[in-house]
Amino acid sequence: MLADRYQQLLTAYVDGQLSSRQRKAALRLLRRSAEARDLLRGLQRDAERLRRLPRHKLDPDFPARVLRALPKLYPAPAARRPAPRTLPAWAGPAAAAAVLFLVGAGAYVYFVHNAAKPSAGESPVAQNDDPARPVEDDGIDPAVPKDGPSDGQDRPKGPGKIEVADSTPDPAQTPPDPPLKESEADKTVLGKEPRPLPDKEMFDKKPKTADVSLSFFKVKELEADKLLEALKKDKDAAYRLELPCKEGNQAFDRLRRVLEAQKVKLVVEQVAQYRLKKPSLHTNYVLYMEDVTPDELVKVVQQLGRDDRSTEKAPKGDASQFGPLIVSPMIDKDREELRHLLGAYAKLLQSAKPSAKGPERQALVLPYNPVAPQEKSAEVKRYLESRRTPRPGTLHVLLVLREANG
Amino acid sequence: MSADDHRLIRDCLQGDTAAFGALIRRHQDRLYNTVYRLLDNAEDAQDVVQEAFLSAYQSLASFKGDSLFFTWLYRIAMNTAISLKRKQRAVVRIDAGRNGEGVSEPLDDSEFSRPGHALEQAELEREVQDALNRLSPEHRMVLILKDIEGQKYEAMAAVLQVPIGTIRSRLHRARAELRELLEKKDE
Repeated sequence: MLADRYQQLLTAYVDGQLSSRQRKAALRLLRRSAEARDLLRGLQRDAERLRRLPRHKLDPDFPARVLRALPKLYPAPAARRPAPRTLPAWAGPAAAAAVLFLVGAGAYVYFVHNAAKPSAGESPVAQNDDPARPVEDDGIDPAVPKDGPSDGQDRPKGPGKIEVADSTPDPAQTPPDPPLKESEADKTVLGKEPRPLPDKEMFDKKPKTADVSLSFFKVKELEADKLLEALKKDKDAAYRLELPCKEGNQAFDRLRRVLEAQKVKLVVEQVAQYRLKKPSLHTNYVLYMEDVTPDELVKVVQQLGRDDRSTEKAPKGDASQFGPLIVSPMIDKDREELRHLLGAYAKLLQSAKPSAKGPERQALVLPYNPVAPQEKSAEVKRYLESRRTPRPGTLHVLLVLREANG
Repeated sequence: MSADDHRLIRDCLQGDTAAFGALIRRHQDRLYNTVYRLLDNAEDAQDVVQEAFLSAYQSLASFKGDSLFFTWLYRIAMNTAISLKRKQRAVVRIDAGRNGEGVSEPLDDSEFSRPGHALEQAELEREVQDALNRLSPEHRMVLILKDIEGQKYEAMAAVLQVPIGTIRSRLHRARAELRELLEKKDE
């Protein structure tokens, strides 16, 4: 049996990365040892077999799919900041300390020397600490692809111009702040005239109208009547629901139990079935339902909330699974995304008419992969061809179950 | 870093997503082939490659340019792939690697016009892939990078962030293991 160091020499010989001294040593070894020659032939044969393995490629559409996902998942990368100038390590903390000192000193002087109570009609501070601002989402983008396929089919139109659901107080009804009283101290802080405080008017500006009306609901403490109201706003009765979760597969299991308890049959697409068996894969899911009333949908969310609360209370309970539910009327981009997710069978959305004899309520479950959806899914076809005529007053719902980190 | 990659990264950081598309096209197949061989599953490989590009996009501003862009991308993909492989339970796949959307590139079209030959080639491929699958992820990785991707020790050390000496010894052990596995099959 060849010594290990000789075997290593031969391995490096196969790798083609020997120094000239090592190469000479290898050639001497090969000349004198038949075992070394046999081993080298074997190693070279193995390397050749690896090299001759067929090369696998992605389809040419892959870059486009990744690019379509980019705006949804990630903001544009920031340009590199210019290299910082060389400063001593203490400069940063020292500057911060200096700023804090100045702010603290100024505040001390202001409050100590301006302690006079305000007279009638005046207020020492702005009454409105919560300036009117548009309803903001909490970082979750219910997001639509930048570019989506458009096949020119007729669709029920989404809502037109939609106003922002602004629940903050109307600034017009809040009395404006009176001007602050100047004190001598203000003038003498740092020996300079104080800068005037920003005009409150800048906080009173009406927010711009957003493109989509979003409503937010805490799943664990659901305001059922408000959710019901939100689900009755859209004249086309079509909604997109974004339900952030901690872990996609676990969240889906909970949702599945709740839907099955409500006698909703789930048609789970093949890739989704595969991914549901793989807890290591982080997967987002999307459900599409056509025959669910607002009441039924509210009950589903309520049950999810109850399950979340009871999980927390259990002896070794997990933290809650679900984040705030975001409800918005389905717009054209949502419909385009749905068609994209349905792949080649998207045309069945319109062409395959539901029948009165179809099975009880169904929901289609797909992995939420707008980048690379399955082009031809048997489950999608089956779902679309076997739909039952929806009951009056029911909704079309696209529910995205998305991991909060993905 | 190649001038082309450098220019595309610069354009991307200025908001040109088409430049990122060009970066993807330049590197996708090479990356996919490596990850495919590592995971022996087209769908998982596609997920990993997609994830690697998306992570690269997110972290593009932090890429210092002190290594090849492809080395950096490889590193992201390898970490994702190894992590996935470790978490997955061993699954016996009857027809592993034959599903998914990847496309196989035949080495020589004329040879594949003979059905018997194609079958023989597929069996040989399966044998080698099965042997690769039985190696540890670290050993599999070095063989894929060396023999399939044709990388030198220095590049491999940069991708895997280990010293060159570690690459040499891993390759030595990996080749010995592979030799043993393939010898048994040949007998």
